[in-house]
Amino acid sequence: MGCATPGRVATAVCLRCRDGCRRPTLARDSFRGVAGVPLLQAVSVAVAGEILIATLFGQAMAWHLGLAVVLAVVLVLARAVVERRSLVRIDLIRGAPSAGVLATLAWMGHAAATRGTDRYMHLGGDVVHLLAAGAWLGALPLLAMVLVRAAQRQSVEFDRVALITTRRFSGIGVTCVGALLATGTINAWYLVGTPAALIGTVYGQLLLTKLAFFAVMLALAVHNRLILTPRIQEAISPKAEVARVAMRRITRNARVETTLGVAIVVIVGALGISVPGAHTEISWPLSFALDLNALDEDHRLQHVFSALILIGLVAAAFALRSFRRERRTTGFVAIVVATSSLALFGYLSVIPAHPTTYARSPVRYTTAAVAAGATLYRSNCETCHGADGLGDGPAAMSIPVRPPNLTSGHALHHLPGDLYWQIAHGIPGTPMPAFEGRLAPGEIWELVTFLHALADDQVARRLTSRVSDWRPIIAPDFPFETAGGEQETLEEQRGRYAVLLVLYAYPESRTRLIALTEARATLERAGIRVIAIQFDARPPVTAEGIDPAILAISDPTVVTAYARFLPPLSGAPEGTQPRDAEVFIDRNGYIRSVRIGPDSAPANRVADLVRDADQLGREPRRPPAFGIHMH
Amino acid sequence: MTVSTTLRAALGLGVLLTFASNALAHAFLDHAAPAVGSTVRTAPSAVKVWFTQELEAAFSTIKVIDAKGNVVASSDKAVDASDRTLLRLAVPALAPGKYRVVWRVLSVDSHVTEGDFTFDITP
Repeated sequence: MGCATPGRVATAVCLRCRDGCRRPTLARDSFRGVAGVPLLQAVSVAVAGEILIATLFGQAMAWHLGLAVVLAVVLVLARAVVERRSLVRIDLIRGAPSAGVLATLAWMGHAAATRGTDRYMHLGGDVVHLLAAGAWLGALPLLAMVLVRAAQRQSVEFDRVALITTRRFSGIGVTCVGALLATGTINAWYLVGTPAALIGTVYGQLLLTKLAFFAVMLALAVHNRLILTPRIQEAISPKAEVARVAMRRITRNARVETTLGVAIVVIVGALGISVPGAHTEISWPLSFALDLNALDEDHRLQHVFSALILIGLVAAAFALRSFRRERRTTGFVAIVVATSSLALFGYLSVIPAHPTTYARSPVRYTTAAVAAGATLYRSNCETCHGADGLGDGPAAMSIPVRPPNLTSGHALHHLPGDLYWQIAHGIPGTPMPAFEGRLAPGEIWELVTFLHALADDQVARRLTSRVSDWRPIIAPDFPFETAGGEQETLEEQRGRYAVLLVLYAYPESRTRLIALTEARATLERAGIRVIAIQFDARPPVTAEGIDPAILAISDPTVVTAYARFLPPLSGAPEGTQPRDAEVFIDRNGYIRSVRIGPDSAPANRVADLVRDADQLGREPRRPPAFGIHMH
Repeated sequence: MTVSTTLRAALGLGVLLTFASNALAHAFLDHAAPAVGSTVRTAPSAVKVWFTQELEAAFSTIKVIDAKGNVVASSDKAVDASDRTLLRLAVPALAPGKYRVVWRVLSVDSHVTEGDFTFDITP
């Protein structure tokens, strides 16, 4: 509450800044506390009041503490009135504030920060999770106490009470466990997000520990319910000794479950002060991982994998059933089948992995990053890997292992984090050296970004001046300003307009620009926005007949990055830049067509564009180009 | 241990555990206009900074400092009413030069982050 949390160290965190700046902006955990004033000043009525009233978690905390006070009062008074009121009303009067005390915790946790409609789902799931956990962990000690008393007294009366309590607790247990599993899965979906984050972040590892404890609790509860409770039922009949042993076991189990429950609550506390796995760096701790990316390419492999998993699960279930029916041999055979099936699945899908394999690049796919990466590539990589990444550089012939084609499908299968590791640490057993001493981490990530563009270049060679099949060529982002307007970015157009990026030279492209001005209304109706940038990145021209709204200025990296996607000029020496080029980018941020050279029939071109936009409108929806949730 | 002692112990533990929840998730800078580290030709009328989480208006501040270190604009009520992930600061007409934006925000789940970035205005 405005005070510093002891033990928190100020850390500098590299921001996943969307603008991909080379110098990361630092966000520091502030140990001066929420109010930003020294500790003594912070402990004041004004600051405390403002926090409690003006912030969401402050309001939640106010409710939380208020309801706790109400609960305390009710607990004290309830004993006094128990003789005069029915038990059900007592339960409600005691239950309501305690449910409130638990539920308000949800608004002080990570769920409160989820945005959009997911927020209600997440908060609702969290509230149910808290209530179910509270009910289960609250009832367990009581169960243990009743059973201990029954064992001490050793009378039929107490045994009957113990039996009834155990049976009723089973009902609560089943409901709570079901609710915990369902809501826990929802929460994990929001806060962890991916299996890689489950294993590769502190949050995920804490969650796995919690799940392990929960699994043990669950196993004990199942044992209680299915094996021990029926034995107690026979307490009233001749098998009293068996029943007594069962009751002792249940008591012991209940105690163990309570301890595990408390341990889980401690872990939950640790989870509450950790950054959720979905919002933090993933550092993969194992040296291998399961590569399910291969499934995208090979459909036969997909079927094989599914079949193996299915066989494994069915065999495991069959084994369980066989053992329950005391059929040992069939059980063992089934176990062997299950293990070998899953082992084969593992063998087929395992790949070497490194700590950065699942890391997300802090560098966004922008023209600035591609241009910086291109410069680094020229000075560090081109000698062996060649200007186009095909492995045909001048030094390639003289090294023992030929550099791979960096633009091929196999190379592209590597996750960006894998490429980062290979550049930073080299590949043992090959001449690929380690660059981490020579290049900063940001520079290596820029190289990885450039490799993406390099691979896209090859695919872009198949682009024509009309939109054809979809290929995932992402249009690199860039900021630009229109005359008299504020700065915008290409990415902001996504979901709103298709963009016709026109690269021009003045005065050669004058006719083209006038034609575009005249067609502007038509293009806008078709959902196309025109952005025209000079090849030499000069400020927009002011000339008669040209609408300033289509002219923009940006930095030179836009031209260097987009020039790579243009087809070569026919009949001109290599390396000549066309004086007039257009890149058509659809509403999802993918490059769909390119055109260069003087336009013989501008009106036809406009009609073509309108038809293309119409065709795009009828395409199935694609994932947007920058759909990755980056922090 | 008698039942009442157990109950009291449990109550005490429960009260203790009430304060165990202190959530932390950070509001990081998502993107800004003018873009981080960029150069603009026309002086912007406002500096806008978007964050990855919603912010608490009461404790989020932003200021713009020019190359000489003078604060040209600042606000501690800058959270946009319609988009709580946006800090919007109106700035006066800025002369060409390098500017630094310094922000300090409180996210809705009670964590403070701060940072800064620069942008250039050249005619």
